[in-house]
Amino acid sequence: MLTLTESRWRRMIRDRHLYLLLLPVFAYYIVFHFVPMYGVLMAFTDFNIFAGLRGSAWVGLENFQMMFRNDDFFIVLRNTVLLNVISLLVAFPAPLILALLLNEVRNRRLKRTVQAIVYLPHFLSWVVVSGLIISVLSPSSGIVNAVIRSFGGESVYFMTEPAWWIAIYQFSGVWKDVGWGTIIYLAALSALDPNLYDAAMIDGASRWQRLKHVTIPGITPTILVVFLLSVGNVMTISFDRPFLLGNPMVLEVADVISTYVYRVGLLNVDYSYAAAVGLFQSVVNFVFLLTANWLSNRIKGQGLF
Amino acid sequence: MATRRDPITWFDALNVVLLTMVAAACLIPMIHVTALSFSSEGAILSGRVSLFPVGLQLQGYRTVFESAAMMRALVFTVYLTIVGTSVNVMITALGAYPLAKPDLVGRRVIWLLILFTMFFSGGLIPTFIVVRALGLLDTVWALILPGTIATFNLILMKTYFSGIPTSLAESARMDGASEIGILMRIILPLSTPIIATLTLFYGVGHWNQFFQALIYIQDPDKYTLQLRLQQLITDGIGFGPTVVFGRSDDIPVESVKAGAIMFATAPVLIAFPFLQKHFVKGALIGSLKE
Repeated sequence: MLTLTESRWRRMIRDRHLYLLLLPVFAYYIVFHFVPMYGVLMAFTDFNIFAGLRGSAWVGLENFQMMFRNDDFFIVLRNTVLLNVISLLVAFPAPLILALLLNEVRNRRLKRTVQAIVYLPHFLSWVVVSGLIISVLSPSSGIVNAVIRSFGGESVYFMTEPAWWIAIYQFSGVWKDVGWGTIIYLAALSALDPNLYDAAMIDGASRWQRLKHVTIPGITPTILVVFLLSVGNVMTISFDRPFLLGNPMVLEVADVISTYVYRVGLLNVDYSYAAAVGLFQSVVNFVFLLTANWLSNRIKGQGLF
Repeated sequence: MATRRDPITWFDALNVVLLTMVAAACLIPMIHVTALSFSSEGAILSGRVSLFPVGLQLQGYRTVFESAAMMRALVFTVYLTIVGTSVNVMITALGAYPLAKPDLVGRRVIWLLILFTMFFSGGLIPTFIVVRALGLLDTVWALILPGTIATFNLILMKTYFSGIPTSLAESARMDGASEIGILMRIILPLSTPIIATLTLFYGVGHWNQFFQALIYIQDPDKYTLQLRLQQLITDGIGFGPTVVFGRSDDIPVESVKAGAIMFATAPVLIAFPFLQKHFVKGALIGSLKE
């Protein structure tokens, strides 16, 4: 035991320069991750920014009680979950289907060209994507409504009708990231053993049967991991997309946890309450992710992380 | 997958049509907005512009390029992207190198703590308070330091470093090279693919930076391009052009908006061939479990 600790010390002294290299990395994680984790205690105080955390009055669960009595909170909670659940039905299968279609293409050049084009929107910012979408769907000057009118229809106000807005929110996510999402599936597809296909061919399996009995079972673990990660993140919602596509006319469906925390916390400067909402989200999310990981372990004996 | 022995069926034809439509759907919004940016205001407002410019004009782009606000945002964003990306890549490498060393004492604990930050965070408000307390508000550092290391990128780089034979570093150590010397002269020169990938990951992130600028920056001199663009195109009731250009009466508002979108997008489009190549590689490394 003594020699073991001694050798640990010796190794640490030998590697002292490596720890020196790690100093800025430690500093970063401590200052911008662990200090905020400690700072989240402000959710239990009546936070005063000039007095700091220790100078602020402790109020226990008051902020959380306020949160659960607040109708706005339940609306943003509902919207967050609703938008994410619809995404699970729409944005989750889309890249899988696209990857399977790409996998069936015979012409390599066509496949590569389509791949390159569908990756492109991933690199655009949400500001640009929302700008493009608003332009394309504009009731007066947009190309979509021009097509609708040319078929004798009337212009649709896509961005200001709540039901349409939800559809556009989903569509924009698929548009931006469907191509990017295919990468993980295409990698899994290219890793499948060609011998399985040969064997299936010898047994006289048709293309459809090979898809059903070789391809799909082969990439099921990948599909499962992607699915569980999406389920685990059902309480997480990015800020940019709902904020930038949103507008006052659709606030009843577009206001979500991220935009709510921003508005209440930073615009209305109600720090403690907003921190409480953020903490609620972090904790729920953490539990969901752990559950997803546990499920993944149970189902296929391998965790997500 | 289809093989040469499979007969060509109606499905193959349908598949080609479908995929062509998907690709077209990705490009049409960009072509439409490019067409708008070159079209006359009258043609835009009467809904006559689809995929080609109608009533060709360059006033929209001229307004964007002559705008001091847009140019300042461009210069600031270029500066942010260069400084920010350099800091990101450097510090990420400093973390990845020691953590890739299998016998570093404490490696497991450090790594678990770092991974923990991917799954739990203090949230927006406590982070904002920290940035404010450090006096970073309204400085370029508020847009760089809180995101110094993206943990996902750290994983990519550590995985890559782990694949470099340790014998190279060992022999340099025998020759009396310091750790930083080994990192700079042996490891990094062998790591150009991962450095290129991370440079592009971080670089695009800075170029597209919007939210951090929205919350940390009040000073209009330090607005990022995306923040200016958002002000111009989605700032509700149409005051955007007045705020950005200081006037709105004599400018072709619709083609200016379209022009500004393309202006902020052009660098990404130019870089796209490189992005495609390296990003896909990075995404693949990332999808392999450690």
